[in-house]
Amino acid sequence: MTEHIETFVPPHPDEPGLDPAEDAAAHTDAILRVDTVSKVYGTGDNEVHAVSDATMAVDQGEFVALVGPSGSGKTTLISMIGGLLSPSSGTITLAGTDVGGLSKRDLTKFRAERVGFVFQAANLVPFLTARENLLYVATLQKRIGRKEAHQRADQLLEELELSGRAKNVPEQLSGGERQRVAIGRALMNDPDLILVDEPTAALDTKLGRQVVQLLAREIKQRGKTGIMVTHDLRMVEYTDRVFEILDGELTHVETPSAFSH
Amino acid sequence: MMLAFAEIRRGRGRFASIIAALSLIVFLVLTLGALADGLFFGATGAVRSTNATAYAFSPDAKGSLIRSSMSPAQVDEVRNAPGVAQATGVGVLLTAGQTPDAEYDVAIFGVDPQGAGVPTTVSEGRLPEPGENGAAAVDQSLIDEGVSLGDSISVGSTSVEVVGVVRDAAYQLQPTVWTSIDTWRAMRNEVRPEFTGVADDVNAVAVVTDTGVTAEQVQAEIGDLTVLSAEDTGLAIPGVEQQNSTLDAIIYTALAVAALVVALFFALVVLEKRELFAALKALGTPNRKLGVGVILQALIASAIGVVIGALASRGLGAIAPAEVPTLFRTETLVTITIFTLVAGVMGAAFSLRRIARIDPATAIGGTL
Repeated sequence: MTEHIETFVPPHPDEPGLDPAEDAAAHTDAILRVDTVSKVYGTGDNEVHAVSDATMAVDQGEFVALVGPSGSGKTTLISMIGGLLSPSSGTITLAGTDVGGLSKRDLTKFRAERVGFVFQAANLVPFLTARENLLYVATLQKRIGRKEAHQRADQLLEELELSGRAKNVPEQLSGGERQRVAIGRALMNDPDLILVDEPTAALDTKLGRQVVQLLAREIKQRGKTGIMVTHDLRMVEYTDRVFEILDGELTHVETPSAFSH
Repeated sequence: MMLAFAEIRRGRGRFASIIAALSLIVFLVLTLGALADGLFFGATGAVRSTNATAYAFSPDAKGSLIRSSMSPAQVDEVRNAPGVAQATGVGVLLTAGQTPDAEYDVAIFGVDPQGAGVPTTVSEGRLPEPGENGAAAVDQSLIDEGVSLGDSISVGSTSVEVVGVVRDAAYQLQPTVWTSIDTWRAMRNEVRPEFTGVADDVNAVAVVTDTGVTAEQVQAEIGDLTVLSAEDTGLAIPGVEQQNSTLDAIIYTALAVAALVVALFFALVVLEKRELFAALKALGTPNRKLGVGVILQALIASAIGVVIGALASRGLGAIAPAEVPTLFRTETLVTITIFTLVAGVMGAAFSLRRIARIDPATAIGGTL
């Protein structure tokens, strides 16, 4: 993966957004709750607070963005929400499941069934076709049967305008097509939560917009909940709300329009 | 499963290298195995393919048929030992036998057709009758070299008529000629006149033990003589054990190399796929599933290697000249197949820890 230089320009909204903790208290029916979550690496003098006391809430059907400069802790926070890292303290609840309380084995199952991931560089299995990439994740769970999985994969590919590319391996697909397959893969197991990590990093602006637009549409249509980590503020216009993170602390919750100038 | 098969199917070029390496190793191992078997069977047939369960030798002979020499009294001593059902003298002479057309290196075995140490592998004709002199059954290898039933084979002025054929009865890679004790002795006196004085001596005693009695038990009864089981007698033939252990060492070293090659291959594959494995783990793939995939791939590569290696080895065996003593035994093939598959799995198993150590969190962002 190539390192890219992040160009984060702090926004200058007309008035500062809400405090995330106050905002969380207002969202009483939120499907995702992050409650005073911290992640600390190292001990003593070497202690690094990657995330400090993060509190946030996201409602079902919402597509939110998590923005912040490089090293702000946004990746750590989203990794904890997705069950890839365990928090040092605090709780994360997704639709009633205490994510931090799951064993390693249960976390693997949790990620397979409840979370859909879209990675920076798509990260498709290079020796599987587009369709097989979708079917593969279906083998990781038991809720959707084999036959249903095949129907679902075909339907997703059609919605993502990939029907003609179903039998192609990633190498034969364009960057945008690959990212669309990755979206299909994230939706395949009908997860509660879709986590999107810098989806436009490997794409040009035009393609990036298309991909994020498509993501927003799919998430909305299916009533899913999505969180997108991005440093590209042009992409937040397709989201419902924007969480800002700086030096490990969630600072504000903004409306996307606050970033439009 | 899906991943493992698809990767081999769509990444044939990459797997071709490991399959080629395994095929070559299996080819080497099987060919050496065939050679080892050929040498072993060719050297020991004369003591394995008889009705004798053990052989007794003179104390200084170190279990060698040719070096041993036993008097009639010693033969009787073995015969009268408890646990011995049958014991008869065996004479052995390594010499050249003349047929009207050619000369052959042969081993003349003098036996009592009604006693112990008689071949049980007659495939054509018959053995000499009791008391019949001047007749012999010969090993198949002599027939392969052009001798036929009814031919005469002579040593000096003593000759025998070929009346039968026995299989798998060579001695020290020389074809054997099975005749009566008297005929054998007459031939021996022709080539080794110094033995004429000890007319009644034989080389060793072939023994049929009572059921359940071992060579060691007979040995305990007759302390001054050496008693070896038929199998140990084969191994005591000069060179046989050394040959076996040398070839076995090469075979097992080659199998260890196979395990190492597989280990290196999958170590590289896993290293190269770190990022993909991290993503697959993030998506909820358990370590077990990735591990099973790698083991499965190692098994498939090893199995294909065994098939190609075995075919190549048999091919070479088919075109190799008859003087090269190769013998392709199903037992050896099965053993080497199992060893190769185990070597492949063990090699791949080294990668399991590497796979388990890949952190799924690295699939996102990269660093903190």
